[in-house]
Amino acid sequence: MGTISVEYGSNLYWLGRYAERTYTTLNTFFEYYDKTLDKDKNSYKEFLESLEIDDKYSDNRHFIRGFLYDKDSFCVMSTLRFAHDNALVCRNVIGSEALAYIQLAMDAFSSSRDAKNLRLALMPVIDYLLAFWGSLDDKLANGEERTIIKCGKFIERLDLYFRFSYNHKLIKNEYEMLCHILARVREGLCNTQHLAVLTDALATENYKARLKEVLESLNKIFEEQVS
Amino acid sequence: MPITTAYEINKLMARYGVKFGLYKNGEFIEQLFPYDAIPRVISNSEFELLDKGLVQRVNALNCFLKDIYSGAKIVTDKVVPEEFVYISKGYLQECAGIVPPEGVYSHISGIDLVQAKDGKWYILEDNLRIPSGASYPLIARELSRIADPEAYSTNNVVDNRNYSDMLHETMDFVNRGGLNVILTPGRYNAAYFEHSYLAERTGALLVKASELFVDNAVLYMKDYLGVKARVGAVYRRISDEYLDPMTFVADSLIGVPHIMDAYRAGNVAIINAPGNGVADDKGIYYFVPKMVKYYLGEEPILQNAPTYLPYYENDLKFTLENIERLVIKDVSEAGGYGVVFGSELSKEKLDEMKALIIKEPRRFISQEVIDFIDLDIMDENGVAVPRKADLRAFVLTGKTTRVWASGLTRFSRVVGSFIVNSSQGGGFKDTWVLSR
Amino acid sequence: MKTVRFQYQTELTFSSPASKHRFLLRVLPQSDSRQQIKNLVWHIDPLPADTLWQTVDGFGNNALAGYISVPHSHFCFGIEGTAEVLNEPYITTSPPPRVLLYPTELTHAHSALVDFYNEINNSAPVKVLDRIQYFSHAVHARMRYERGSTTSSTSAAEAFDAGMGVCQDYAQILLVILRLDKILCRYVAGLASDYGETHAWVEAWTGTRYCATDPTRDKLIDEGYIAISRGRDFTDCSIERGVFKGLCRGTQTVSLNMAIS
Repeated sequence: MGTISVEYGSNLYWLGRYAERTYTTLNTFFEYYDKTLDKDKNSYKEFLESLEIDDKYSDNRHFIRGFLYDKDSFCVMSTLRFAHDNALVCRNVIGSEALAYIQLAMDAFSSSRDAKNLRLALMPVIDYLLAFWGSLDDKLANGEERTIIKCGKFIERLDLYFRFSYNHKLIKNEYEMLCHILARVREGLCNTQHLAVLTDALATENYKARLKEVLESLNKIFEEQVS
Repeated sequence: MPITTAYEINKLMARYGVKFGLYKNGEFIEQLFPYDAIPRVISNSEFELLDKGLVQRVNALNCFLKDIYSGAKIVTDKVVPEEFVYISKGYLQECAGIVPPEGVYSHISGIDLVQAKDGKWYILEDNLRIPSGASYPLIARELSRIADPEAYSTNNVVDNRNYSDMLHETMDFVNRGGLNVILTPGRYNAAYFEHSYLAERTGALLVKASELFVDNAVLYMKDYLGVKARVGAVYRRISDEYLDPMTFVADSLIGVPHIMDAYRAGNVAIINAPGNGVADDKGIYYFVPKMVKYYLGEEPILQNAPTYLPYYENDLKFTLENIERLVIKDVSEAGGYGVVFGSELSKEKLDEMKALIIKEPRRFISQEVIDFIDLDIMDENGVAVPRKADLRAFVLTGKTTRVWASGLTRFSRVVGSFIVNSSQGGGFKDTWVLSR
Repeated sequence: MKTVRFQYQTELTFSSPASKHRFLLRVLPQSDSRQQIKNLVWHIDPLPADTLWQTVDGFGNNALAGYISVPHSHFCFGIEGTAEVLNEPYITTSPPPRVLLYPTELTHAHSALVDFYNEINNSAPVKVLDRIQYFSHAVHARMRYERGSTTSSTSAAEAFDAGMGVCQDYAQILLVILRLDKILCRYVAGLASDYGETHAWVEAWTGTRYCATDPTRDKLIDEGYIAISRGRDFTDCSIERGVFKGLCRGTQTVSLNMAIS
């Protein structure tokens, strides 16, 4: 076990969050992408609402391009860049190989901009992100560093699943994964009070009524200790 | 090497983020360090000579540093005039009397050489503070082996991938008990890639000053739970003046307060030792061959470029009379700046320069222009074209002094230009040392 | 020989609380051939709960190093003790390092200072001890004492151009002149009776010992002086250095009492 400074802890945690945000947002985005093309061209508004983002787009096509490639901090291009910023300062922990997959994802994302078929052009981005997680698992089999990144990953995933109202069973599964990881962090890192709020809320499908409280607790389980 | 290989290697460089940063119009940008796939080849016998000469030179320089900070016998014996020592910006009185762990001052020395057209090697510059660049040929070789796996055994090239092991051994040798760390000024430093890559390869922790602190003259790193771990060796990539706001520049935000106190108490090794700048000063350079004789009682194996010190009456006269064919270097500048070729100056500029030299003779050295060899590089069309190139050899001192069987070959991308620095647009090549 | 009781304190008040405060205090006078320091005690408030240790800086001065993590809006430190002081300006030591002959950032000679040196050098006496006093007097005569006209980072050249300054500037100008005259010399920070705050003067090497002269008061030092730290210039001797989190520094109050018996 190495010595992880506060700054590293924070970088690792946010690397996990941003890599996951890019991955899950992109996958969910494609669901809405299909919907806006086939059924209801305004269904993207629902997507934005879930993420609490103001709709500044003129139409669905504007949304598709803008949400992917604009410079706003919520755009996929930005979240991927944030993942890269955090990965770059963790090279010596996560390894050049894992960092390279984020770099490759960035490069693939940039070059997808001019593609006719976005879904096809963005497939390598998903591939590289999965390769990134694979590379981490391979290199950091048991490390504390890996635990911190994974905490970031699952907290982010739950955050998005809550927002997009994924089904209860799926959310419970991910939550169990998070608990499994939190069991491995050193004492004092996991805020058990906030964890209890989540456990309580997820006992029934009724958690949606408490969404605000749930999200707040989720984001405080780990973050205050490392950021 | 075919152009497709060069293309593949550069693509791999991009994949692994082999970049260096620079500030342009106040903005930080990162560029790929242009890599040329045609290697520089150094024969086995040639390297043997370089190896001996470089070990000798670095040993003498380490002796000099030890002497300067513990009595300066070489000054008392009038081999080096005292003003060259004490006016040097690199001389730090704060280091007087401190003997670094194991007595090593320059752990990592970057010695810049050029090869003249007659094949003879000349030393252009010693870099004993924070010589950078080893990571580039190191990763370049890794990547070249992917692009062209068989080139190395076919050509009997010595494997150079041991640099990180050498560096690790050096850190361990001087470590005073505790962690090895690489201290970086941060993400927006020109050589950040190198800091993070060397940390990865040596297993050292990459830290910023804010992650370190000194308590009772011992250096620690604090982890995110507040647990402190002792640090035994710091490979610092920030310069002396910003190292410790309690000792040097007071408003340095990238330094560690009281680190000099921990160092003075012998509780931590600082790699390279603070105060080394006095030995790689362009003015002191003139005296290095004399140091070899003085400290080691040996004849120098490698020569300096013929150098004149206007500080001496005769050399001043010579410099003024021959200024049109000499290169004038301002001793207080680095990185290829402050270098002026007499041949490129107009009559008025020459007169200005002469007046300046007469006014401040200590500030300048003049040198014969070594017409160093061109090496072929591949241009955008895959055609080999000749460009000036130098070699930075890396010499590591731990238990013994060893030369890395490789080096950073930098070349100018401008026809006929002698300026090879990456900050001024130069590129780099792999350096092959042949095993037979 | 006289017995001098001394008491010195500096209080810094921050405009908003400082935290994560690391400091170095060069406030511990040492005994030498002229002054014997006795019963020295120091105080720091707030007393660092985190860490505090005594150290020696690169110039052989004793110092206190420490860290206060908690927010504090004032920082106070001081010393008191007694000293037995000889009524003579000489200090016997081993020969000084040659570096004391060379300029620093605060003591570089610009052309006006070189001209000044050449001008006064014309009628300078021959013997080194006389020269030291002569140059000290010349600096005193040339400068006007003006509180607040310079700061701690004002160089000798800048103060000389302005024609005014405080003890630090007088001392640094004298260092430039002495160094131009190839006399080894050093800056001294210390306490002087009736000065009200920390004082600065110069020790110049006569070839066998140091002679201490005060260009501000135009005299060789007497038993009313206690040396605290020495170095090439003000920067080497600064009483207090610190880095902390918080807005810029507020006010500084110094109190000094010396009783000679």
